[in-house]
Amino acid sequence: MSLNEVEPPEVRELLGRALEGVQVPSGGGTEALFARAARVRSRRRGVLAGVVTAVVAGSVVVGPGLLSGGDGGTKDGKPQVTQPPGARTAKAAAFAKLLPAGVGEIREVSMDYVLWKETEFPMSGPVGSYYGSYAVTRDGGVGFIRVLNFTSPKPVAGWSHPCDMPTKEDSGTCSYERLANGDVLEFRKNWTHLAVMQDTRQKWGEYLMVTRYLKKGGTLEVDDTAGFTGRNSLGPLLASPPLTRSQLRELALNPDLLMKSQR
Amino acid sequence: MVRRGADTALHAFVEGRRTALFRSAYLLCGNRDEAEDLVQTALVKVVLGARRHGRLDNLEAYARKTLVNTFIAGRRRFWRREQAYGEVPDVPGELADNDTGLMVRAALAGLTPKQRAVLVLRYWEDLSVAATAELLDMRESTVKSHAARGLAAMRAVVREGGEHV
Repeated sequence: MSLNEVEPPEVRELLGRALEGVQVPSGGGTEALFARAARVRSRRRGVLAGVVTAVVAGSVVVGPGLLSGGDGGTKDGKPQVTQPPGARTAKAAAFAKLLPAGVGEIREVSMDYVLWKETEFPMSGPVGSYYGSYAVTRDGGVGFIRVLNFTSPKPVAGWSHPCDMPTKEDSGTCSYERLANGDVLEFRKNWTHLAVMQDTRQKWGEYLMVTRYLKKGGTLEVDDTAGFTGRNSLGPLLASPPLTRSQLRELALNPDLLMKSQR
Repeated sequence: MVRRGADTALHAFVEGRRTALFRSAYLLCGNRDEAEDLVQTALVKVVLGARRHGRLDNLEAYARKTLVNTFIAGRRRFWRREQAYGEVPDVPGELADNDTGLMVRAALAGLTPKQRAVLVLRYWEDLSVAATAELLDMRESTVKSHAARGLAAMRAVVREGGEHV
């Protein structure tokens, strides 16, 4: 095949090669899918009824990330956040207890809403108890911590090739350590994500990320960022990410952040 | 009676098109579990939408559009870090036989979600530029530029793959 003449039929052939060896899900499950649709429909009806009730009561509860802070952003370098943004939830309170003293005020937020004013993308599977995003308000600035569980029945590629993924996302630095139990901790600094970081209307502060690749499969990821300014910002950047690297490492080792099936 | 017939048609559509949608979803996601999730999510939307609007015409296009737009919307989500979490291949011993496949997956992962979507729609689903533009709600010139970028990525695979292609 000529280098400069990859034409549609050949492209299709190449794409087909990417599918080779991929196990297609077995048939069935259609009833489960329709059942899921029915659940979604009944949940929507319930939510609608709830909203109507709340409006009647005159006390509509807004979602995480809607509270205070407004457009935020820096102005003459002076802190503007006087009230921590986000929702004071039981989960946020419990999560705060896992963090070292002095990290800041922890509130739960929806990053989808914060960044794009969109409703949260529903997760289809189970997640850990602390899965979610948290705004960290400290010294008038707002940073974020995110906790994410990914399930997999077997180790993901990063477990065997940390910091060495052929398709790895761009990050300034990456290092890793193998734990005695076989898990791998991968540290990235100043991660940049196409979807997030290339929005020039937002400017991100320092970004730390630890990914714990579990030997038994799946991952735990904790992101730790000094926040962002610009469009939809909730406030000025923190001087540094909420957690230091060693604090972040310690948090990633906390089994409470894992799903039960991951422990 | 009409509803029952509509449900039967929906069932038939879901059962008949699921595998094809999964293949497209896999090319978009590069991950089997996520592709399954994507297909499930898209089909649930299709079922809900078809019932809500009472329309069963052109389910194929509706499903394709829902799948791709759900993928793109999901990729915008902050936590979707698809590239770092690709599974360890099922059969490591067969890697050498499918180096090209791995390289294509890597090349796809290096594209932006919209570029990937264009590549899949244009060259896997075989849609025209106009149909792709309409489905993705973008200008035809944008489709062409995304396609060019995708083709460049494929050319790079050919270049690196040498005799494997």
